[in-house]
Amino acid sequence: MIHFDKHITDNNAKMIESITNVLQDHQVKITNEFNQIVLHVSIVDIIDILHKLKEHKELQFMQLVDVTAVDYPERDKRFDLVYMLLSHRKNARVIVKAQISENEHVQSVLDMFKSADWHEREVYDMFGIVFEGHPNLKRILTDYEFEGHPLRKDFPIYGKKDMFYDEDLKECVYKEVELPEDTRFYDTQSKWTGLNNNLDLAEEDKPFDLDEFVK
Amino acid sequence: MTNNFDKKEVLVGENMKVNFGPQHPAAHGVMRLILELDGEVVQTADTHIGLLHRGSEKLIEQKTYLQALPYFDRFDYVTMMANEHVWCLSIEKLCQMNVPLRAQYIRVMFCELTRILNHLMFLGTHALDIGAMSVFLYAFKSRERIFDFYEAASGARMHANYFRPGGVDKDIPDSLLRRIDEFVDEEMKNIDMYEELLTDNRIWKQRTVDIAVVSAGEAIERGFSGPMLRGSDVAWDLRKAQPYEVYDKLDFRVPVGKNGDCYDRYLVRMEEMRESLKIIRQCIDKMPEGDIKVQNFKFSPPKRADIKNDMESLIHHFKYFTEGFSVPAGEAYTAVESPKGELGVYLVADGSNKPYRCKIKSPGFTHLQSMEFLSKGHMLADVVSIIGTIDFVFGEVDR
Repeated sequence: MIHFDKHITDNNAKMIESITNVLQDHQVKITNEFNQIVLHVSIVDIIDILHKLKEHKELQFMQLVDVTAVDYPERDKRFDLVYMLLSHRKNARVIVKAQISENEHVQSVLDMFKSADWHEREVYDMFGIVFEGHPNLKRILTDYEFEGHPLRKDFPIYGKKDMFYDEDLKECVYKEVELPEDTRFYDTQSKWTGLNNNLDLAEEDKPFDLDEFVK
Repeated sequence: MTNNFDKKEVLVGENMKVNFGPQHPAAHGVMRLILELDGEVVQTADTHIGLLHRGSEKLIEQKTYLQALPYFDRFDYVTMMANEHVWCLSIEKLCQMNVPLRAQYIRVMFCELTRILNHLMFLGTHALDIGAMSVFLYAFKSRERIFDFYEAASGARMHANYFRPGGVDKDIPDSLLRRIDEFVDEEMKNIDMYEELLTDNRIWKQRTVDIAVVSAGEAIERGFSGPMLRGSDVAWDLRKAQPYEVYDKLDFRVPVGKNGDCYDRYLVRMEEMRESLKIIRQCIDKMPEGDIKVQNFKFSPPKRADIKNDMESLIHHFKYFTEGFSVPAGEAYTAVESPKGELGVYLVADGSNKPYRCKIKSPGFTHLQSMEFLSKGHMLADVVSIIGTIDFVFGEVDR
């Protein structure tokens, strides 16, 4: 039977303190929004940091819950690589984030966390981030002959290829997607925004611009 | 009789490769499993998934927060409301919304009904795969009754689309609570009946005891959660450890297994159903009167009657259903204890009315990758037991 810390770490202050102690030698920015600890680290020492988070007695983040990425195409280093860790014994979660560019590779953490296998394959499939040292880095969710990385922001929502059954060849064939018209994207956003935006509509007294209206 | 074949050649043959699926009835969906067999013993298992991949995460990025909700019903199509729950919770976390108490109780009640729904599905199909036909029929009879409750609350039997960010869609009448109360009594007896059919059954034990044994450390390292983790003697339940909604006000226990085999995981799930019934009973007793969604009409639609009389309500209604609401920029990982394990949503919002990125951490995906570890050294027939005990659904694995 494994015993856990009874105290639910609702205040993450203690956890942040021990993480700061353990990761003294590294450049880490720690935020604590929405009651969750996020470590912003550099891609160079992410493996070191994950190793320390796992092995240190004070932390014991033994479970890698998920690996994922977020695409920001306008940025220099376009991807955010995100690792989510869970410490059962300390009852705490931590999110480790690093920026990575399209051409950079990152070391696989498969030898550290056995659960990283398919998660890394999925990130490779969806974003094209290459994990060095992964023994079986193949596509996982998309089709066997799929091209492109669908969760990148520049991948079109309707895809690039369509599959048809060819009656003459008696097999499936791929064709380029042909759309009779471009996909319409409606901008439904207005000045009427949620609670946190205190736009004073009356102050924005813009004259009517015909060019903008026509566009 | 002449016998001139080389004896060695026959005895030391090559390993055989068997293609299991993608359309195998015991694969619980569309999974292609390439097994390498030495005799009848599994040597390697190569799992191919993605045959049900629909690109939901990409689609959700194009939809408003409200329009994305029905997609969640279709991820794990056996635990519909648990999926909606995690999506609503993640939005509420980013908006820092406070949900009315009645809505929280309704949600918890339906989440626990969903847990029974899922475990009955697990029980029926797991037993059917192994060869016990009748349990399947009984379990599906009970499932039908829970679908009726779904229908009474939301209008839909499976893909309910009932939870909303900030509460639930419609209020439920007291008559429904009375019906659920009756169901709790009857289901307690039914679960005893299922256990009578299986727990001491010799064939059932031969097929599940000591199959796919996972140690506690291995289970944590492999990312297991839910009954897969608790079957291996790890008392970890997000409802207790990191409580959300009203779970800290409810009294329930967390069952754990001792040996970490298929049989223990089955026992854990049976006991969990009983605990769920207790939770449902407490929810019915404690359910207060009051609102069922937040009364901020930027985040929930106004009453129908108000729309007819009040200009502002009409505008709110129109804006809510066309533009939706905007979630302040930020990111959050929210996890709930879904019947299958830890179900999480990593939501990145950019301040607009559409999510920038939504990653669904599904328990089945994490569990299924250990297929080779679980089935190595077992017989081909045990692969079916292992698929049953993982209890995955391809809607959530492939997303």
